[in-house]
Amino acid sequence: MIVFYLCPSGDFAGTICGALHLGGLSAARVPSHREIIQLRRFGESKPEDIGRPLFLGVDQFGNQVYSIGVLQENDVALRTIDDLLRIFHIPPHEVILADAVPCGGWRLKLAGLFSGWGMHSWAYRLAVPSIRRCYPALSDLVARTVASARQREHEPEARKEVLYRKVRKTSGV
Amino acid sequence: MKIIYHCYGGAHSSVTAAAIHTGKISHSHLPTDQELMSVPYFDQQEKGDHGRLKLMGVDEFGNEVYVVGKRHMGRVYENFVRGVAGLLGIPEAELVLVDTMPYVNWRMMVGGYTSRRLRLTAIGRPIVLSGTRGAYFKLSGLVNTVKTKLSGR
Repeated sequence: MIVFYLCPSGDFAGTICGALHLGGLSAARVPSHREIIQLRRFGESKPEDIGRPLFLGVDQFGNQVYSIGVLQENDVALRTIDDLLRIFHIPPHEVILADAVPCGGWRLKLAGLFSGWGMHSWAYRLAVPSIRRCYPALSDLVARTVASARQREHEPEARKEVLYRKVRKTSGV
Repeated sequence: MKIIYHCYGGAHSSVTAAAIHTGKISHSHLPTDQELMSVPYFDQQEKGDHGRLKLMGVDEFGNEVYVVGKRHMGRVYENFVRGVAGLLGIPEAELVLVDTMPYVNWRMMVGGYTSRRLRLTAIGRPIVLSGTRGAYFKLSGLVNTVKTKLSGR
């Protein structure tokens, strides 16, 4: 199974979610500025890389975890993934979609935009404090994603929509 | 194989190109406003449709032809679709993505925005129809290029 964390640039909120998911960060406390910028792949993407999945690792259930940049168009991206699964007859339980775009608030969205324009220093300045501010929401998203992955170990037919609808109702900051 | 024409709203340039590709309108004659309006999805898509892959038909090679609105994703969209498709095990040769945005003129932008976003169809639709007719042979040329490449595969 594949887990996708959607975020504006793919290398800010998505990499934090990946680190939480894979055990590189703890949900119990907000990481320091230094811990955030030292994360693998954090803020590394070039503008031309946005949209390409970033492989973050394999979780305890054997799922591949990716972050993917979708700018502000999380709805468009989710519908397209849904339809790719449909038209290529791929079972939807092969994928978990976790939408981190609504978790970040306007600062992180703006950071994603700056990143997309190649303005990395501005993106960094906005992204790190924004991530610290929205860390509880990102932790909540990851906790739900991991719970969904765990549930699918036992119920592989669980529908993917459950995850991101639940997450998006509760994750606004 | 699936061929996906993509533009901002999935309502004008991509729909027109896909209609030419599937033979719903002639590639060599400028269509009338009525002919354009009879094309499925032309000036019809709403915000909630963006990102949905809409089947326009099947071409003479047996390929399914889709249209999609990618909104502000721009060039990111192709990275996104190719990246996700690759991870889902979809062979690269099974997916052809065609960006029709370079062929969109200002009348299509203004008319499309007025008709679809502002919902002022009576004002926007004549402008976008005029723009589509203005871009028609460029879109037809694009389709011709796509088909030439497909026939060489």
